[in-house]
Amino acid sequence: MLEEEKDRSPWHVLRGVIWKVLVEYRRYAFNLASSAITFTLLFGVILGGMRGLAAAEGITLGPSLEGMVVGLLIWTLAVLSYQSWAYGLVFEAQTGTLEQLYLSPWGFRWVALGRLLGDLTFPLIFACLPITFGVLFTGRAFRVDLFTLVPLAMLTILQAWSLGLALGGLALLYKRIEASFQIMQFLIAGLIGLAAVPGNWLLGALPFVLSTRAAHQSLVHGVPLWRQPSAPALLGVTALWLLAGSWAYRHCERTAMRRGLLGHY
Amino acid sequence: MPLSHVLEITELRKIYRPGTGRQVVAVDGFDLSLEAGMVIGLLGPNGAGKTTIIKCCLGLVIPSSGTIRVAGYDLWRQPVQARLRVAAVLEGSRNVYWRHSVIENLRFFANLHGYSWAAARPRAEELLERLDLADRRTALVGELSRGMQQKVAVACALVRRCPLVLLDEPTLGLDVETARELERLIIELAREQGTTVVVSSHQMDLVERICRRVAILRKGRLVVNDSVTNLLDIFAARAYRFTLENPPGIEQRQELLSRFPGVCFDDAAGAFRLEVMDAGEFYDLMEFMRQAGLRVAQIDREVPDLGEVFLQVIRGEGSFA
Ligand SMILES: Nc1ncnc2c1ncn2[C@@H]1O[C@H](COP(=O)(O)OP(=O)(O)O)[C@@H](O)[C@H]1O
Ligand SMILES: [Mg+2]
Repeated sequence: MLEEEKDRSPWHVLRGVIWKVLVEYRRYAFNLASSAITFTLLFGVILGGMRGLAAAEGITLGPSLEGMVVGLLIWTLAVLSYQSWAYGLVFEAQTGTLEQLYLSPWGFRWVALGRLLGDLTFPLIFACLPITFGVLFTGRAFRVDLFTLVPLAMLTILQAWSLGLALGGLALLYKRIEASFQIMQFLIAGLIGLAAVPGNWLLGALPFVLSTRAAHQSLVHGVPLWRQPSAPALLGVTALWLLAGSWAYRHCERTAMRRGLLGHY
Repeated sequence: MPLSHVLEITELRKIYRPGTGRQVVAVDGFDLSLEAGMVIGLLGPNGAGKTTIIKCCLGLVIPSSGTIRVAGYDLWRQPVQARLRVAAVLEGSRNVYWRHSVIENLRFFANLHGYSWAAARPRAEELLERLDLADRRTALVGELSRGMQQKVAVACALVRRCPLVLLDEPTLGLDVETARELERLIIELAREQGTTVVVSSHQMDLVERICRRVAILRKGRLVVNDSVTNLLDIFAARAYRFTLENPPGIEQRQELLSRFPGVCFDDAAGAFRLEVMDAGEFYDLMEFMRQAGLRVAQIDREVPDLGEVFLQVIRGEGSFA
């Protein structure tokens, strides 16, 4: 018994969960590919349509087209990240596997971390699409600086996780919250739109606003993240939202355990 | 740490508050201690609190009060130590991933309890063989029959090699054949590994077949905690059925009824049934019949099955209530 125990560790939990997510991706590669095509078409229609319109009216849409590309980039990252967590959690609660996950000796946090890390691949791949299409449709080269874009993408995903954690937690308690998962997409689009409103630092405290501004600075003006004055604020805001999201999830989780709602009662 | 008890539940209470001031007392002061290697049945009608007790023992439901120790470790104060030692199959849910194959599930759940796949693999292979799943190892669980899915769930609980395994209504909804097969495997595997198994059920026959001990639960309270054979003995010893050659007359009946409250008549069969409280009463009755000139054709000791015992206990009849 003791002999065995020293070989057991939460690292195997983390590895196991990530492995399982990747197995899923591989198995459903076809579904992923088809949603990638849908996304591609969506970007094509939006950006192509805008360009066509601009050409017909004889106006230059340069700056707003660029803004659109940046917005789509952040939106893709955010929506895919919070959705995979929130829907995944609801699905596991309904089918009864969530309770099994909660039996893991070191607690659910390792499972959650593995799940979130495993789910990174998907939004990151899809986020390449708007940039590619941006280049194609706007006809101008974006400054693709990976040293800025990758950390920025990570920060955006972290903000999305906090949203996903809070929503997922609420969904454990109130089953009908699930309907609001869809509405969130529009809310996120709204937040990204707010990034264009200049000045007001209060706006920057909202999720995705600073990310969008930073992405714009980098992609359009070529300013690396570490030279942007708002970078520390972006870090701070992300950390705060993540804390708030985790706290909200913990709180909902405790309540669900008190009410016996981790299962599908 | 005392290792004598694999599971120790003390004064467990759970009151659900599903909102708007309502409250449901699901478990009402429940105590139970289990020694290593025991297979115990947790028997009770629907709503008795079996699932709640099991979920409390797993840390899935926070109890209102009481303590739970697994192998001596307090479930909430030393959660890692306690949870390293317990696995479960829960009632009415999938328990495993339908979109993953059998072997993938085994690997995942071994990982989930902290084993590397290398360490868990031999055990997984053994379980596949024993549960007759070896040739379906790469099949997706969602494509298997209901019975096989349940076997996979049991395998995923057992691959974690925990000294305590909780099975909540494990054969519910399975066809008889698969249910029996699963029962047999549960006892075999438990015996070989020295695993303590708690099987909850509202079907007494299942408990009678696979458990040596039974804890009967009524409205969140423990009403019986005894070995299955003892329990059957207690109830068996109390019931005799006398078949008479000549039926008793009206006066004799009245006297019988007044002196032996446990008598009831079954006129169609020319018999009466007596529940005696002690051996003395039995001999008194024999004496009475000799004097009254009632000739006994046959005496049967009624052998109840656990089902009848269970019903009597649950209805609150007899001395257990
Ligand atoms: N999550 C819950 N919220 C409110 N009441 C519950 C919940 N789970 C169970 N109950 C109630 O608690 C009692 C015991 O239920 P349960 O433990 O499921 O019993 P059993 O498993 O023996 O059928 C029942 O009255 C049931 O309705
Ligand atoms: Mg139940």
